[in-house]
Amino acid sequence: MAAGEGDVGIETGIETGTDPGTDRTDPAAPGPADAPAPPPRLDTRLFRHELTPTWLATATALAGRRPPPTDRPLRAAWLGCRAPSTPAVVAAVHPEAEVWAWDPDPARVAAMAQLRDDAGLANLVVHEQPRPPAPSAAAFDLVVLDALIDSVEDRARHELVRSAATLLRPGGLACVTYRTVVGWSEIAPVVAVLRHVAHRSSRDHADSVADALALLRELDDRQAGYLATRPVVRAWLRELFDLPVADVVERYVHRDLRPVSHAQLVEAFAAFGVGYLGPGRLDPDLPADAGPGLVEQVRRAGSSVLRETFGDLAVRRSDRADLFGLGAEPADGERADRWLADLRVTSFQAPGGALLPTVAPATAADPALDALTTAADAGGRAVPVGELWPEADADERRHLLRRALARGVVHPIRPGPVCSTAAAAAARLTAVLDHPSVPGPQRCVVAPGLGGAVAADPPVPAARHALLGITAP
Amino acid sequence: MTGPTPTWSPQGPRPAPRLGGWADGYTTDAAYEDQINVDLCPAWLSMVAVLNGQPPLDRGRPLVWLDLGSGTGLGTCTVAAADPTLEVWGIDYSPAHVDRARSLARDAQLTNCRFVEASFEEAARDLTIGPVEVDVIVVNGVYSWVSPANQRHIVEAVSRRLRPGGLVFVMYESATGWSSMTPLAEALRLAVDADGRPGDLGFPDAARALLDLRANGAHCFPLGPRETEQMAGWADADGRYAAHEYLGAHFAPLLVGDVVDALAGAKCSHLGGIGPLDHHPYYGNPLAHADLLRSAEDPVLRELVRDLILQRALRRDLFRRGCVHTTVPEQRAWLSALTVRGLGKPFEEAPVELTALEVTLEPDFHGPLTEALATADLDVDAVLAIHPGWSFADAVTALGLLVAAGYAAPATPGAPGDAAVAASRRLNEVLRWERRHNRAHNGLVSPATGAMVALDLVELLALDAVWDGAPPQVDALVAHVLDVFAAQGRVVRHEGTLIHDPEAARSVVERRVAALLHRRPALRRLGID
Repeated sequence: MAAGEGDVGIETGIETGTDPGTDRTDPAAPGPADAPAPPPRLDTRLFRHELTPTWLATATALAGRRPPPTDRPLRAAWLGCRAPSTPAVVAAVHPEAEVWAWDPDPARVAAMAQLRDDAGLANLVVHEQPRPPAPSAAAFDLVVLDALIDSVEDRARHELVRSAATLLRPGGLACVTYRTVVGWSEIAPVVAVLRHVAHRSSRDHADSVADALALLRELDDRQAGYLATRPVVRAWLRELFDLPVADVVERYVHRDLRPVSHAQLVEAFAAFGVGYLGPGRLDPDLPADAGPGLVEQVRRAGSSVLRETFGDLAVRRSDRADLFGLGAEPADGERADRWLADLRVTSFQAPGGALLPTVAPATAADPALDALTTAADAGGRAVPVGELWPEADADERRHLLRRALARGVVHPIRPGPVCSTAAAAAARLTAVLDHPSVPGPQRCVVAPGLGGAVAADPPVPAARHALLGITAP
Repeated sequence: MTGPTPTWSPQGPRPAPRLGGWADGYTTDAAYEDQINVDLCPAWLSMVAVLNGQPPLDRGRPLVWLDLGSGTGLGTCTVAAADPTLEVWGIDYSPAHVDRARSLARDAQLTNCRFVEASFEEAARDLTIGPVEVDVIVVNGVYSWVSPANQRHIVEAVSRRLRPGGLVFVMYESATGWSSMTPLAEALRLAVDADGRPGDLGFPDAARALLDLRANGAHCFPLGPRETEQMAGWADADGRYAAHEYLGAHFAPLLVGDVVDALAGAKCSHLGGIGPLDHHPYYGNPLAHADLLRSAEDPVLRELVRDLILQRALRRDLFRRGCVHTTVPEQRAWLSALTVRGLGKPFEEAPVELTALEVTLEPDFHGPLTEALATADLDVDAVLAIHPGWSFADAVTALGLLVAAGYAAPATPGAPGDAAVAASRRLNEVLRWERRHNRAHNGLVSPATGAMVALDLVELLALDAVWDGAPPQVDALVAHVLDVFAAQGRVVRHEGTLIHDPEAARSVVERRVAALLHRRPALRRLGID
C-alpha cells in the first residue's frame, strides 16, 4: 500500500503486547496460574540497517558528499529509539565509538538501558532525561532523528530539530526519518477520529480504540464520503481493520500522526546552518512505470527542494530518510567519484533468499545487477565499488549502485578490519536480542563486518562469517 | 536544554522575498482581494447563537466588534456602516491591507471604524492596540493560513479581549476536503518561489506544472473529489486569490477538533457552524448517516464524523465565551424575537444546497412565505399565521430555510436609523465609484440586515444606471450593462462559465436585469435602493 510504515528494517514494529505502556494498565489481570508475569520488554530486535553509519556513509558518498571520517572514533547520537536495537548494534560493532541514545518515551529509555546492561555495551550512553542531550564541547559526527518529528506538534518538532542540529560538529551528518505529507495527509483525518475517541474515553485504550474501529467500520459500510471516494484511505482502512487492536493503539494512539514534508524539514534545518545532502534511503527517485514526461519534469524542477517534492508527488512516497550536513560543501566531481569508488560492498543474495528485505523489488530482469551478484557472491568478498561495472562512467556507476543497494543485491561493508572487541560485543548482543521472552518471528545476528545486523533465518552461510565478523555460536 | 543555544549561521534555502520577512510566511506580494460577507454581522451571529440555545448578543449597549486579520477592510467597513452604533476595529499586519481599509473608511466617512497595523502577536500581547474588551471577534480567512504560532496568538488575543458572553467566529479550511491538496499547495509555493515572480503572476505556471505532473502519471493523483474540483478551477483562477489561497508558507487545513481544542484555551465553547440549519437534527445531517450522527453524544466527534461524511472543505464556526444554562422558555422567547427580512428573490423550485444536504422548497409550504416576505418581515408568529397547523419548531425551521436558501436574511432589530441608512449609502457610493473604475464587488451594504446583500455585477451596473437617471426598462439597462462590460474588457459569466457568444450573453443579461427590476422594492426595504 502507498502509506505504509517504514518497512526497510528487519522488523517492522514494536510488539505492543509487551509494551510497558499497555501492560501496566491492569495489574489485576490474570496470568498463568501461580507464575509471576514476566517483566515487560520492548522488542529490542527492531533494527534498521539503513540508519547505521556504514549505510549512511554510502548514502553520503552517493550524494556527492564526503562520508564521515573513519580515522578517529565516531560519536553518534540517536534521538528516538523506536528501533531500539539500532543504536545498540552500532555501539557493539563500533566499540571505539561513543553512542548516545535518547527517547521521549521513558519506557523506551528504560529498555535501552536494560539492553545496554544485558549486552555489556560500555560505550552506549543512555540519556535518561526527559529532554534530548544538550550540545557540549564534544560534538557528534552523526545524529539520527528517528521517527519522532512526525508525531509531535510544531513546537516540540522545532526543539528536536534544534537539538539534532546543534549536536553536530562541523562536517557532521544528521539523518531524519519521517512519514511524509504526501503519503499521509489523507490518512490524518481518519486517524484524528480514532485518536479523538481513544483520548476522550476514560477507559483503557484497547477498549476505546475498539469502539473507534467499530465506528469506522460502520462509516465504511455506509460508504461515508471520505472513506469511500479516496483510494489511499480505502487501502489504508483495509490494513487497519486487519491489525490487532494493540497494534492500532501503538501505531496511532500512542504515536500521533503529524506528517512532515521534505521542504518543511529543509527549511527547519537551514535555520541552524545545516543543509540537505541527499536521501538516506536509496529507494527509487521515480516510480517504476514513470514515463519520460514525468522523469523529465522531475529532473528539470527549478530547485533542489522542488525536485525532491516533485519526486515525492510522483512516487507518492510515504516515508523519507533525509541526510543533512553541517558545513558539508559539495565536492568537485573527481573527489566525489573517488569517495564513491573507495566504498566496499558485498553481495547479499544468500542461498534461499536475500539477507535483507529489499526496498524496491525487481520488476524485471536486471542483467547489470544479476552479473554483479554472480561476480561478487563467490566466497563472500568485499568488492570496492570502483571495481564494479568497469565499463560504466561515474554517473552510471552511481545509478547502478543505488539500484543494487535498493534491491538488496549488495550491502556496504564497514571500513577496516573487525577487531576482537567488536566480534565479542556483537556475539553478546546477538544473544541478548535472541532472548526468548521477546516475542516476534524474526531473529537477527549482529554482523560487525557489515556495521549492522542481518536476519538469522535463513542462516548466514559459514563462508560469509569471516567477512561479516560473525562468531559461530 | 536551558536558554537559547548558539547556532551556526543560517544557510539556504532562504524564504522567498515574496513572502516578506515580516509576514511569517504569509503572502505579501499581492494584496488580498476585497471580500463581501452576507453573514458576518451582529444579526446573523445572534441568530446562530439563539438557534444553538444561547442568548443573542446584548444590544442594550453599543457593541464592540473586532476583525482580527481584517484584510482590505470591506467586511469591517460594512459592519460599521450598517450600524453606526457599533464600535468597529480591524487589525491586520499588512500595511497594504490597512492602507486600503483606511481609505474605504475615510471615503465613506465612517467615524466608528478604525484600522490598526499590527501582528497577531502584538494584538495578543499589547492591549493598548485596539479595543480592550469586545463583544465579537471575527477571524475570517486567516486561521488555517497562518503559522501555528500565529494561531496561538489569535487564541491568546481572543482570551484577553473577548468579553464573557462574547462571540468569536473562525473560518478555516477543513482537512476533510483539502487533505490531498496539502502537498500540492506546498509544491505550488515552491514552484512560485523558484520562479521568482510575485505570487499572482507566478501561480499560472506553477499550476500548469502540477497539471502536467498529473498528466504525466504522478502517483499522488487522483486527489479527493473536493480537491479535484479545486484543481479544476486553477486554469482560470484569479491570481491574487490563488496567491493567498495556496502560496502562503503555512497553509495547512485543520480539523474541527483542533480548532475547538484551541479555542477552549480561551474559554470559548463551540456553538456550531453559522449555517442557519447547521444545528438542525434533520437538515443538519446527511440522510444516510443521520441516525449515526444523532446518536453521537460527543459534539466534537459528531462534527468530525459529519465532516468526514461530507468531505467538507471549509468550516465557518461560531464559539461563545462561556456557554450559559438556558431554560426552554428563555430559548422560546429568543426564537420568537428572530425576524428575517426578504431579499427580493422570487420563489423557485430549484434545489437549495445546505451544509449537509440538498433540499427543494415546497411551493405549498414555502411559496406563501416568500410571497409574504415581499411586503413584510417574518417571525415565528407571522409564519404560524400563514401556516396555523405548524408547530413552533416548524416555524423556526422555516425561517432557517428561508435564510439558507437566500430568500431572507436576519434583520437588525427595529427599522434602520437615519445614520445607518446614510452611512450605508456613503459606503455604497464608494463602491459604485470603484465599479466605474473596474473594481467590482458583488454586493451592497444593507442597514436593514447589517451586512452585504449579494448582487452580481450585471445587477449592480443596471442599478448604477437607474441611479444615474436611466429609465428602469430592460432594453435600455441591458444595452448599458453590455457597453460597460465591453469597455472594461469583461465577459459575462453564467453559473461559473464565461459566455463568449454575444447573443447568449445578452440573453443572460436580459434575465438578470429583469430580475433586478423585480427586486427593487425589496432593495428599497433593505435600505439600498
